[in-house]
Amino acid sequence: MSVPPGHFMALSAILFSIGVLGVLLRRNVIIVLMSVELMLNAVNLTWIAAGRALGDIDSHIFVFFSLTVAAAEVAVGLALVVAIYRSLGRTDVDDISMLNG
Amino acid sequence: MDLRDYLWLVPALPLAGFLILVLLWPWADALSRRLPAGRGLPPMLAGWLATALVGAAFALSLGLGAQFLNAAAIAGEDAGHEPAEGVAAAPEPYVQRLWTWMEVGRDQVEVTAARADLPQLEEIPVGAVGPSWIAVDTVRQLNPKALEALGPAMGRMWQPELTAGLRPVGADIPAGGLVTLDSLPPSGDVALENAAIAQPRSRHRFAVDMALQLDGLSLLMLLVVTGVGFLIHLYSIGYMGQDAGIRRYFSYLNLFVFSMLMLVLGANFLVLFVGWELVGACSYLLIGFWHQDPANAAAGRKAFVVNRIGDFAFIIALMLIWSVFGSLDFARVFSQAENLLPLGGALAVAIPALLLFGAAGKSAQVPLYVWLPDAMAGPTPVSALIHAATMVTAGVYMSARAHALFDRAPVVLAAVAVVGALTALLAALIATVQVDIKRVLAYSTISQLGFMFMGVGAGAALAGVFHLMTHAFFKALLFLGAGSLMHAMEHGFHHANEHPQSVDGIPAPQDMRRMGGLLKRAPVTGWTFLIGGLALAGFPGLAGFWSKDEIVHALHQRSAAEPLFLALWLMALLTAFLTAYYTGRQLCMVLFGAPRSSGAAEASDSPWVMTLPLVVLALLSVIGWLPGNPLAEHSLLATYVLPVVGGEHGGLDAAGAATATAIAFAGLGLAWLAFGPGRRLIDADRLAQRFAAVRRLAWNRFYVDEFYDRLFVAPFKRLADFFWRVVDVGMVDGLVNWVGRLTVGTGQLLRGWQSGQVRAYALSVLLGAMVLVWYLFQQAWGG
Repeated sequence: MSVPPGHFMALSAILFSIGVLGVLLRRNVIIVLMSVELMLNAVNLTWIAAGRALGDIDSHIFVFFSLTVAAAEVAVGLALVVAIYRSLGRTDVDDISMLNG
Repeated sequence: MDLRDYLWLVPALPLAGFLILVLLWPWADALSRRLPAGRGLPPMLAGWLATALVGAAFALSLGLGAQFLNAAAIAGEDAGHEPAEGVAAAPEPYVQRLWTWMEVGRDQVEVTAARADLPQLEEIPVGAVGPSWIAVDTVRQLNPKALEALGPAMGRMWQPELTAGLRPVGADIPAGGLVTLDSLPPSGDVALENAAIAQPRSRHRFAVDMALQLDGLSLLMLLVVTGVGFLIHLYSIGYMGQDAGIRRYFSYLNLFVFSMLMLVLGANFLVLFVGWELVGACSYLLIGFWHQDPANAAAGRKAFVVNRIGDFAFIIALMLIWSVFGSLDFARVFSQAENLLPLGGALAVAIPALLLFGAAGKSAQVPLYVWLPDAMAGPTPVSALIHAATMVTAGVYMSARAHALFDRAPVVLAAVAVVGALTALLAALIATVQVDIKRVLAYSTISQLGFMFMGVGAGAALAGVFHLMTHAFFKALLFLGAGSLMHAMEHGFHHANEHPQSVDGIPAPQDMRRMGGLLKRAPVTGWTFLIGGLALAGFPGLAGFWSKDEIVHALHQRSAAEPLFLALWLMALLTAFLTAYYTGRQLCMVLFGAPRSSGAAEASDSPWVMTLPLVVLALLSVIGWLPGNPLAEHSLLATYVLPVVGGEHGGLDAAGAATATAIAFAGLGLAWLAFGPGRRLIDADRLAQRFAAVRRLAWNRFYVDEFYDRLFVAPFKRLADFFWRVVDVGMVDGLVNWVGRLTVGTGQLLRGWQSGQVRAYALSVLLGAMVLVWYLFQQAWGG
């Protein structure tokens, strides 16, 4: 007995919302980055679930690509976090607002 | 060898001098500095180079003159005149076409009717049928003889189907279908050419050649310009030798000679006009030569602007001439004037009137004379060359040259005489009270130019040209003499170690109130100045006597029938008296009596480069009238210039000569009594007090400058101010500023959104995404 697709969708929606709230509400750069990852993976979950429900293998392949890119993105993101920490001594997102108008 | 082939060299030589001095000189100077022990080119070399080139032009002009007389003698013999008569016919004008200057558009012909519109075309006899039957008919009306000449060409002039309208000659008209007489192949048949000219045409084609013309009038001007120009160049070497800008000075001077030669040699109105404008530009450059003083720069600007006002009328006249004649060539225009300008027609009046206005600007006549007295701000040799001897006579030259146009409007000719008389009298009145040695001469120049205009206006253009020539001699002499005297005065002040202040804005060395007794201190300059002054005053036997009195005589001859000319004659006599008076006054104040300042007391004569031209010009002031001898039946001028300028050979009668002599002596005598040395028989100061009002008017130049200032300059400045403050600053700049301010304001409004807070951006992205998603759901499942 398989899990119906609606459950997957609901789970990924919940995960995505948690990610969004994390991005919007948390101020630590690392947490923000983690929330972004959460949003990303919520979408991946949607994709896999939809592929399974529709019997389509292509979506699985896309998810692999997406994971790879996400890994690269994390590497860059963490490097930025390190750079920010080194120059500012903190990792508060709100402190990084030098590009204001 | 035909020297005339080298006519182009005459203006080319001074032009070469100008180009060398402007372009090559800095290069050669830098090169010579690089040589071991090289110290650059000596500045004086520029002067000698310029002088040598103008001298070469003068030599070439002399050769041209000799050949001209020779050719005239041969032509006279060919024409069957008895050589014993000594009468030579003037040779045809020689025209040298250098290149086609501009050619715009194509000949077009107006086809006035289609074949169907021509009544009974078949009835026209064979051989007389033309393509433009109407056009041929026009020719018949204009010039019946021309139609006969067309006979052989008639066969080719068949154009069966042609619609009415304008069409270009050539391409789209079939071969053999010649529509216009214009497109006939050149056959060398003079009569045929006349027929073509008789047809108004070329309305749509503008063609001008760079062409030079040599005839009696231009030869005379050529000799005067290069001859006097050469002497003044030579003089300038002495006068300007110590000036730092000597190279600039001589390059301008050479450019001026070139321009003036183009003016007098041009074979059409456009070449004349280019020379006309260029001499104005040179005049501007040389008046403001010492531009470090703003007053000099202002004088140059004034001269240029006032000249431009006249030039504006001149340009309009050129346009009208082209629209009437379809050509600007002298030969074409003057030969057709009688056909195309009906006597007293609107255009026949407008063209010469506009030309007169242009001439008044260049030749400093009422109402545009105000620039010439200020032009004395330039170096004195420039005043002699440009503002006395040559450029200012351009208006007289042009009026004499274009007499065929002036003859079509007697009212304009009378206006020329009136303008001349008014100018002559007004300027002579002003000259009587001036104390600046150059200013007296400047007003005297204006006055004498007025005499020339009177001559031209009275129909005795030859007398005007004659006076132009003699005036060039003695007025150049007077100016150069004045320069030499100023030089001597400066030297005297320097010697006495004095630095006197200017009084009434007149620098001490040119203030006649500080001169006196200079005849003894500077004998060569003094005696030549005396000769020049006497020639100007009309002392019997000297050059000015003959030419001026020929003009007066011409006025007198016409005064019997026309009351206007009686008035002009009386004005001329009065002016002649005033001329003798102010000249005598000047001579007395400058040359005789006791020195009135240390400058005059310690003055010494100028070096030979300055006095040699004075001596030559003095000689010319004595004998320069011989070519135009009014007593001889066939003087050189009467033979060679009269055919060009038209009118009559005035001559001089005994009564006229006696009157002139009496007037000259009266004026000189009065001046001697009032200003002469020793016991003064007339107290000039008391006279001045009695006529204080008149004197103040004349001293202030009748307030004409102030009047123009109020009437034209001030409103113009207000208008310019309006355009500056309201239109430019307010509207143009305002618009640009407003756009800038709008951009800045918008930016100020929007900058608040750019907080730099990443979370705020993320929120806006989220909100945007939610709106988008909501919209998509509406589209997909909404009702």
